[in-house]
Amino acid sequence: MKLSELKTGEKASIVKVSGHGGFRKRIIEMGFVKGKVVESLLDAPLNDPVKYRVMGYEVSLRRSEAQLIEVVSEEEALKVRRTKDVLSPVMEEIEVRKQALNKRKHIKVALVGNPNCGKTTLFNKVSGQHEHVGNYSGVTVDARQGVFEQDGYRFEIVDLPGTYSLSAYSPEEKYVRSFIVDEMPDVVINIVDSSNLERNLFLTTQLIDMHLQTVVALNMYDELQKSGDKLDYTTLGKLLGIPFVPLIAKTGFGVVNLFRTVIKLYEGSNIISESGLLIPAAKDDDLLDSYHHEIKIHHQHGNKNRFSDLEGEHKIHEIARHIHINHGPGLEKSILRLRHLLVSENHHLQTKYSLRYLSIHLLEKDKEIDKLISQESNASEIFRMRDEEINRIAIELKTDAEAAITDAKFGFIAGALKETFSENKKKPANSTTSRLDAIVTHKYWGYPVFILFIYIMFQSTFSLGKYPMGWIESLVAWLNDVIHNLMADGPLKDLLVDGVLGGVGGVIVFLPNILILYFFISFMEDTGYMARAAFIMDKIMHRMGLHGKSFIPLIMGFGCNVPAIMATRTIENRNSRMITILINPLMSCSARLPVYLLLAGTFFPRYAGLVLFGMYAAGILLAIIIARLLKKFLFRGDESPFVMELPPYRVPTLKSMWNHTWEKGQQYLRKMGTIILVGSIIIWFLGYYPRSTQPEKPSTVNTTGQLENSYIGKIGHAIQPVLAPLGFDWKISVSLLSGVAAKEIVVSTLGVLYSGNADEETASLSAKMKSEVRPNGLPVYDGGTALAFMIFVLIYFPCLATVVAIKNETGSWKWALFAAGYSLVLAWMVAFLVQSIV
Amino acid sequence: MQQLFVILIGVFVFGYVIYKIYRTITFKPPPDSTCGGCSSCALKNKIKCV
Repeated sequence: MKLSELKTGEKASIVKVSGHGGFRKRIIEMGFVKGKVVESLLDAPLNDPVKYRVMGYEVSLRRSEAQLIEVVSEEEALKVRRTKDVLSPVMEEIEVRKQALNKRKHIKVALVGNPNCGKTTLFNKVSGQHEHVGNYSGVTVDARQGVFEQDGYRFEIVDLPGTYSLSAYSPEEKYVRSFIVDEMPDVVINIVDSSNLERNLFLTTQLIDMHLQTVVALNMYDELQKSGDKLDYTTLGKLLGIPFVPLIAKTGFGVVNLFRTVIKLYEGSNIISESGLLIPAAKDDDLLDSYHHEIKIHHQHGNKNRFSDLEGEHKIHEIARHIHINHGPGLEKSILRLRHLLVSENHHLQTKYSLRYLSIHLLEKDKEIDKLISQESNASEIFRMRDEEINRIAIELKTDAEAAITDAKFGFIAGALKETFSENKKKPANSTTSRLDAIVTHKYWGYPVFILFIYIMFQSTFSLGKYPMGWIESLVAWLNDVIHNLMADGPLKDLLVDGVLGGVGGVIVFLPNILILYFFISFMEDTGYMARAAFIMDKIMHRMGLHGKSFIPLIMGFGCNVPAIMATRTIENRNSRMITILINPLMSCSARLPVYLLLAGTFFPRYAGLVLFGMYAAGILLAIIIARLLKKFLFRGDESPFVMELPPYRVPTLKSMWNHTWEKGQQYLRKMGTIILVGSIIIWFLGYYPRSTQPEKPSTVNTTGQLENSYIGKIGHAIQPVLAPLGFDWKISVSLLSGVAAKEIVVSTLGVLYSGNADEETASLSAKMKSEVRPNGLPVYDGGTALAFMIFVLIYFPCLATVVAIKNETGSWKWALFAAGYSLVLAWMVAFLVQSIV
Repeated sequence: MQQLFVILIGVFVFGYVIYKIYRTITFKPPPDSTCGGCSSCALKNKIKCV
């Protein structure tokens, strides 16, 4: 519970103090030290402030301050003891304190860093989860949480989106900043890319301004070593007041040391002075002493009893301290003036924010901070002073305050690196990355290389996938036989054979193809080639009027449109974001893949890879055209500049690629057991009932008369006239209707509708489709119909989950319905065109 | 007997579909959510970001 919830007369023991460093230091120095007992004495008349007794002294705290102190009350401690079947009603103070210290061993850690620095790789490594990572920026668009245990501590880890700074320009910057301020992690792990220190450390300087307990993880440290560059990270840590720990997240090197450093910082930084002595409030306490002995935190009692440090490199008190980045006399004068005003008039803001940080961001005209300050009674005075200072800086420094602050921070970083970093002079001028980039991002060669790679990927999906696909088909056929032989005729047997096996069995055979395709995509992402593909396409996107930053959400759309639409949050320009959201459903998601695989494999067996490639290319082409139209007619406006990052090439680990691939496979299998199974059963019900009074073959659903007269037959015949010009019969029409829920259901519906003819029961869905004829004896499917069918599935109505995602991200049903409506019309037109031409 | 099982499966599927539609329609992201209105993240309940 929070200290603010403690009733008058009650006692509790302190677990931890949250908040930024300045606030925490002040409160801890007042005696609110972990494990100490605090008693609520009385409330002031308006319920605020509250008077407490701690360490024999009486102190007053505002309720908002007490809210940031976590405690274990005697009552809570008693409850915990009851669960352990200890019946004594007397609760010793020492026991409450022990419980508080025990509860303290739960650390909330936030992973913060630039895009593509390896946050999610570390998150996956320690939490055992398989969140999506890629060697390109913008993969994480939301915070994710995992739990991990080490050295008796439980870490609650939150993986935040990558961000270059903590200004409030882009949604991910706002998100990360509000998470840090509102959720108050105990420790921030700032992950930096060791091969790109200067740029990565900019974010570190902003974390320093925020006065947070931070550990820097020097990720990809092996690359720094391999390059021959030298970094004295211990000295760099001392200069910045933050411990630096080398890390190779993908192999796990340094992870143990990193989290030990987190423990040391969490346990030691507030109670051990720079000389290693415990602060007075934590001295001469046997319980705290034995607690520190247990966790081996280095500290001294006077000049004797030096304890060994927790295994690792740092003695935390020698490194961790709060520093101020020196922005130069001109800026510091302004920061100081604003800070003084805030200290004297707006002291309450200190609970959540470092006032120096607020002053710096006021000078930067940070909109979010302006909003916060505008609620203060003296807002006009603060803004007036801010404007005066900005004008003074403009005159004195001949630049605007924001640029001056950024320059000063980079100047500080350059100075710190000058002392600690030495570049390998003998480093070859042309690294592997630049040699490869010379080819794959070449203005002419880049495109054929890209197309060749994509073609190989799609062709392999078919050629390698056909063997396991055959095995699964045999397994489904065997199950079919088993049910046929074991069960008596009746509706349940028909449901299992025609509904479940016909529907789910028709879709599950494509699992190997999907795994192969996503294995290739994982390879592209993990090596860094996906970023190059985005880079060469970016030029085209710009020419077509689309924002460069749109490409990542569009690529993510190949997996699933829902997270891809969420990923558009990284686009700060509203017009670009809306366009990207609305064209995203045109990117072929994995749900459409079974339809392509079935139709391309059945009707274009020799060119299946090419047809599949064509479908993806058609999606991209249409997306570009629609984007152009939307920009011209609905979302006019300038785009903001965007630098596309090209990370160095990396050799991906087989495990990581398999994890990504299997993640997709699991998602596919999960859908089999839920939406596809349910969809297949519904289609079967609609096709099985009402029962024909004189059935030709009562035990099977798929006799022509029964199916034609069933509910599904009636629905199919009702909508078929609209789709007849595209060459679609009523069964295709029904499958398209059911695909509105999820695109895989198109295949499972066909599986149900084409199942059941006794002589064809063991034939594959492909064979059944090939032999399907119209009433006039002509085949239902020819090349034109199959292509039109695929193109219709590519374009028409985004699945329901995507429509809801569009509604949530745009905040309006209007745009969700617009996306559904325009895609239906477009699908009909393009499919008609294809059917007429082919 | 088979008919009875089929009816039970039908009722279950019908209930499941109604429940899913209800959940989709009734979900309302609160204003000023740091989750940006996203309903997909299991974390939102834990970190109270909505």
